[in-house]
Amino acid sequence: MTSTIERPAEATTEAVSRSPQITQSPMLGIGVALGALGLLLAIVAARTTDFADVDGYGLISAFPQTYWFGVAAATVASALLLWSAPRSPRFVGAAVPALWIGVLHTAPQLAHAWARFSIVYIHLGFIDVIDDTATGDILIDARFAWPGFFGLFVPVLADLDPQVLDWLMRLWPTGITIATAVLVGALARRSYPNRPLIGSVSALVFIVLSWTGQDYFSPQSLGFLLYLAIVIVIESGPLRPQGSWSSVAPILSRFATAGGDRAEARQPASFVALLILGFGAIASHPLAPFFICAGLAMLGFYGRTVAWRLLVILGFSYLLWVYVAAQPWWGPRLEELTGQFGSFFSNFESSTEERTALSSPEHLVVAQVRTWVGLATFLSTLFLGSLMAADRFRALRPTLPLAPLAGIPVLAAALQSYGGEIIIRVLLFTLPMASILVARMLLAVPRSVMPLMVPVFMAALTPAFIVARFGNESFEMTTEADYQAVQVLYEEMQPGTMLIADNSFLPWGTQNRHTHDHLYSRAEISEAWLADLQAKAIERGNDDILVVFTPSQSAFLEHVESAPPDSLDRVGEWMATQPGVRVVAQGGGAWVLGVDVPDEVDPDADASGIVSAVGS
Amino acid sequence: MTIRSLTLLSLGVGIASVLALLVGLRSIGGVLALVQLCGLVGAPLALILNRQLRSRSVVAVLSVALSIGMSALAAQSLIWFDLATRPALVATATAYGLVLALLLAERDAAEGTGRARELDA
Repeated sequence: MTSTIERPAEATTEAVSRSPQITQSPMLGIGVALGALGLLLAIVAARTTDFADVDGYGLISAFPQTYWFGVAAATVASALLLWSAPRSPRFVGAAVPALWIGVLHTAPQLAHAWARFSIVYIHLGFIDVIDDTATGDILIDARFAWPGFFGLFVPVLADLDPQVLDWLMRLWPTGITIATAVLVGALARRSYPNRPLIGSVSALVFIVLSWTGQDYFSPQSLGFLLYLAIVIVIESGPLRPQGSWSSVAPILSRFATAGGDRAEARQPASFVALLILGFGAIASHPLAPFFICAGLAMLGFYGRTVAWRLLVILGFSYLLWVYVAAQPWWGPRLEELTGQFGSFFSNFESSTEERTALSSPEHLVVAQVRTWVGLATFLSTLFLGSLMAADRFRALRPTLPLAPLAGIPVLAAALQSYGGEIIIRVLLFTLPMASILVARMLLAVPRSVMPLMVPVFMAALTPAFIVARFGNESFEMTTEADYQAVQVLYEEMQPGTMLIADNSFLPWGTQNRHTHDHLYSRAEISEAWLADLQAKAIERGNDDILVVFTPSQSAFLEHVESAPPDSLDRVGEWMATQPGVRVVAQGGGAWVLGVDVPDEVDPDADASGIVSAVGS
Repeated sequence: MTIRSLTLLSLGVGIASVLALLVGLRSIGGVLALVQLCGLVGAPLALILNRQLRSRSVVAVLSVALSIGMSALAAQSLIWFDLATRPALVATATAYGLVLALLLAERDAAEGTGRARELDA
């Protein structure tokens, strides 16, 4: 299941209905037992997954059948629990979403040798930089313009045992999903105060549609949580009779007036909390404050005066922050960044077509599933928003402006491409409100059918979720060989060593980001490429080069760049035969190679293609 | 659980964490810092909001969100002055939380009308 990497010679390294009363209690008990069994099966399946089976479709190809038995058990358990909901509404309301979070979000995180996704390791490296220097340097990486998130974890994570740290990173997505699902459920209950189970069903829809993968250890995951927390604090006031603002904006009122207007909370403590949440987002992430400000504007249009006040304060602070704190980074890139402003379709394309231009057929399927699930979410939001705007369906209108809040994040796509990820971020902020709308439609079915329909909905979407959410695992997972290669790299690294990888899909960056630049260069079987590396080292004053290739990097090239399988393995084999190159460690498709730096640069060498991660 | 007891708990855990980090007990200090910076610092303020939120689970999540938000602000302010050491981060975040809890709890108690004001809105 795991592969190992070995040094040559001496060196080695090392997861409602009212049925007849006579059946209610046993149903609850059986539901709980079956749910526990389903979760257990999913976790056991994840822990016994063979990495060698992970292909271009991701985890779905590698999961043993046991996982799908777990999903089936969770489906039946959910139906039994929902049937018992009238007797134990609170327990069922929490247990069913918790079960599906465990099956869909926690178990897959346990399938990997080490915590998945390379960016997690880069973020841990930022914490290491702050711990070493008591500050952050924006010239190391643009993300140091928003270092609040990284800074707060310095006392917590900087000295943690790697195994404990690994488990914290694996469980972070579960924590974020639980926290955000709780807030989605609370917003749903406030949107439809008279609909039993709307909170739980909304949380369930959110859980199964939340495939964007932005819940890993990152400022974005925190920014999303803070956004939802801001909305819930604003919307914590009582309902008041309809008419105060809706008479002013009759068109807007068509999307949110059922049961009256909602008065926003006005306690001083609420406003202080809102300021902390807002400023916490500004200090931690460049994009989340935009979505927060857009949401505040929409809530302001719907009569929440506190949203206007907060928007003015946060909006001004956000602009000031970008202007002052991030200036060293955006200053030299102003033309490039502003060039994307207003280019909605171009930014959209860079998030979709351009990302799959060279994809393997399998990766293309994953991208298509993501596109279709995303498109279905956007279109269902549009459809349901339009439906509730019609007088005939006014009973569907929530007390919160759900459809406008779900739609407003799209504006971000007109700002910039955000490295080709803007659409995925837009979808992230659209999902909570869209989930509540979809849940409301699910609850429109007869009560006798609902306990069956909701679990079937979850089970039917599970394969699409697994493909969309964990479809890139061939290069986003962290194998033992990936992890060990990076450990060898750091053990071998000396002051003045230049570090090179082919691409960013490896678990590096966890240490010495401020003393050693981590550079990327597309590897080739070519003496000219080796000369380019040496020229770059001479240019930078480095006296040694360490090159690291890992299986995940090769998988990225195979599935996203149309390279042959194990291409970096072949480059490693070739490099090992070249003069001036030494094999530091090799095995399991991973290579750590040392390259000597000559005294003189090859006049034909071109080091411009060797780029640093700065500004990423 | 009262606002006062939560504030005292936050103070106690904060002090214990800072002391542990100062004397080199980094693992214990780190665990205490995790509890403090990701849950306790914002807990008193979240509890003050309980009247209007009326949901324990939401208050718990808000406590985490406020704690992380407040700690991020503390970290940011220390990073500006190149002072972001482990004990300083915990101490500053704890201080932010305590000052806000004392000011707002005092006001809340003095008015005693958080609920009434809300209903007046």
